[in-house]
Amino acid sequence: MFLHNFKFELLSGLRVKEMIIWLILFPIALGTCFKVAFSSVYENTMVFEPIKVAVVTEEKTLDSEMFKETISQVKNEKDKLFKVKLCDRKKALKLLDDEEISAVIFAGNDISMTTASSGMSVTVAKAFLDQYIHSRDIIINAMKSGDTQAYESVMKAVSDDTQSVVKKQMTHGNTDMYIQYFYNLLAMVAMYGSLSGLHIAIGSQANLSALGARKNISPTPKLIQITASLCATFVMEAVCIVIAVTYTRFVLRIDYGDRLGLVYLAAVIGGCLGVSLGFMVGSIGKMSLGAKSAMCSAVSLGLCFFSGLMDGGMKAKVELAAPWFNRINPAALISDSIYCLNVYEDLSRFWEKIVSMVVITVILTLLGFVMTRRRRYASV
Amino acid sequence: MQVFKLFFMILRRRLVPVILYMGIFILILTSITSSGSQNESFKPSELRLVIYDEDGTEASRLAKDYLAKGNELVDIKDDDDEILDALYYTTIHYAVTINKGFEQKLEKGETDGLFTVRYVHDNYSNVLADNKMNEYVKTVSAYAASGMDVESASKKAAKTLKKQAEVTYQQNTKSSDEIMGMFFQYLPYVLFSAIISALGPVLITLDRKIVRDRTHCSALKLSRETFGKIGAASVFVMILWGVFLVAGAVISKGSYSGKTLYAVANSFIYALISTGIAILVASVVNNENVLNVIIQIFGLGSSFLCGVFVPQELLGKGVVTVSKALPAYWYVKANNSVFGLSEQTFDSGKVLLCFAAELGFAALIFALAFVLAKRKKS
Repeated sequence: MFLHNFKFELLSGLRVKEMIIWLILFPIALGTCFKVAFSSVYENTMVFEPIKVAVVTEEKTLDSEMFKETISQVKNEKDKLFKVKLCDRKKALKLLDDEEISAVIFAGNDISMTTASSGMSVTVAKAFLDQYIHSRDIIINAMKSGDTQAYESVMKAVSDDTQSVVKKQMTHGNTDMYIQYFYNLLAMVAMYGSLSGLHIAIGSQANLSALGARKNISPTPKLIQITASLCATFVMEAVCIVIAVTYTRFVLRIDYGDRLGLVYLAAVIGGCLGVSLGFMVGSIGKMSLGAKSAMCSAVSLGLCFFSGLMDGGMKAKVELAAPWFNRINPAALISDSIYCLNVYEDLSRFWEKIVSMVVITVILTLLGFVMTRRRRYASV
Repeated sequence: MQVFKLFFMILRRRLVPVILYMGIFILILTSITSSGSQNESFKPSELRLVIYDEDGTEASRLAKDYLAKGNELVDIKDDDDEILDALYYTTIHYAVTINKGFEQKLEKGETDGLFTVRYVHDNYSNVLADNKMNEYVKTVSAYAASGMDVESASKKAAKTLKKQAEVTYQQNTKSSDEIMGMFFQYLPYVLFSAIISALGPVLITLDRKIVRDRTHCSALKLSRETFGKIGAASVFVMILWGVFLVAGAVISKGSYSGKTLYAVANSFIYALISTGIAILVASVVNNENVLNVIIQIFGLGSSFLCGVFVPQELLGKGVVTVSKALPAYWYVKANNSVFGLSEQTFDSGKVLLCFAAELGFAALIFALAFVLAKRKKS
């Protein structure tokens, strides 16, 4: 009986072609948009731009001349760190107001800076000024001491290239920040599985659909009917999500790391989680299909937003404000599980996420069963 | 008037999903907008650090105190797994260990390998932190080279490094409406999705064969039916738009005056475009779930391509060429000019040109919707 129901649930599901086509088209269209948009963003943000500053010398001193010389020569690992414009105070402040430069540096007996933002480039400029002031003070103090040998030692210590930091990269995976949008895209495909899951609940309730009314008068136990529907929907959702992973990996060439099999596993379990979410929402109360669909879409959208689909930094903000939410948000769990595969050598974190997803899937499915069981209809 | 009334009758029955959508979109808008704060003084970027002192000497304690200054010190157990989690979720940016033998090495004049740092994301913040450590070591060793013992050199270094360049913060005339700018930056996605999510199902119901046939067999002219539908949809959209504007004023704690009125006008035109798209999509799609998927493809896709979620100046030339064919591009371009975002400056002529482009899209979409309605009737 289970297999019979399963077969016909699968067949009737396949007949809703419109929905299936859009569920497959959704990641293809959106993934292509992401790829096109982010490839140029990545190029534009990875190319280092020298920090544009204006240097104003209001009084010409040896110090100000030394500073001008130093700032125009200082380089980072690849190129010049600053692009310097020498001008008077009025013009420099106008440039700052027009956002053509990041900061104005006033070089005289004292070094000071005026800025209109607190971004990273301004912080780097300020760090450079601080370093310059410190080195200058140390050298001047050593000169004042009159001890030539001590002065030479100090000069050597200040000018020597110090490598006091040993760096240990904790992962060898792809840490490109834009790839997380693709993880979240897969999470959204999975969450849209909730729309399919919704139909299982609606289709089993006699007061909400004609199909439900027909099923309720058949002698097949409800448990078998719903389990067969759930399994068939899991299979269809799995196919949709497998196509999404395959398209993003092999056509868009998104680097999911070298454990692709497990990426598929995480995505498929995520899809099942989406279906069970829809099943649970569909089983609540007596609301119409339209109202429940809207509820599912709104909840899926909200969960994906907090997982970082529209704002890449959102998950980190949630982690600081309410870390527990990242542990139970299905969309965050799906995107995190794929991230873990890409970034961590050790698989324990990945399995932790998978177990969380399975547990939530089971809980949501059981809740759906509890809410739909033993319903009797005197009249529909 | 009959179609107008019918529209609101259907809407009344679907009020719960509409309220739900509005709630979720206002939540999204609030979360995104409130993450941008307005600066009134210069604040150097602060790092969240965890520092482990393996040396346990006075010199290492002074080094720890120095590194903690100006940064946020986080307490996490020295365990690779826990650190990896914290780095991954960016609860911390950097895990610094002051290595054993720190003081001894400095006494000998050795400066290499005094700290070990663990990190996941390689970025400019890390370079700043590395520089801070190197500068500290350089200063301590310079004082030690002049004959001081390491402890005194460390104290003297901490004192020297306290001195900072004076920074004046100039309130930029263009950044005063920063939060308002962010609100209007993200508004097109929210407005588009909310309008179509709320309006689409009502229009689909209105376009259902049984309802459509009943209207068509009446004496009502097609033009009156279409204008009735458009009129009702417009009134409903104006209410939604008004709710979002009130939400914007509450979030940004400001009011609409001066230049921001251009932004209000811009969002009004975009609301019109969204209404047109909703009417157009609802006339070809008759399944609400499919409508939801299409909204997300168009809404998210055009937002990423046109510079809603990603600054427009970061988009490549090819992407910009394509996105010019989408109304969201002109919305964002006008908004950038109004609020001085993406390296743009305010130019009323440029803004009005963008409005004209958007109105052109609106006219095209409504004309297309009318043609489709006519074809459907025939």
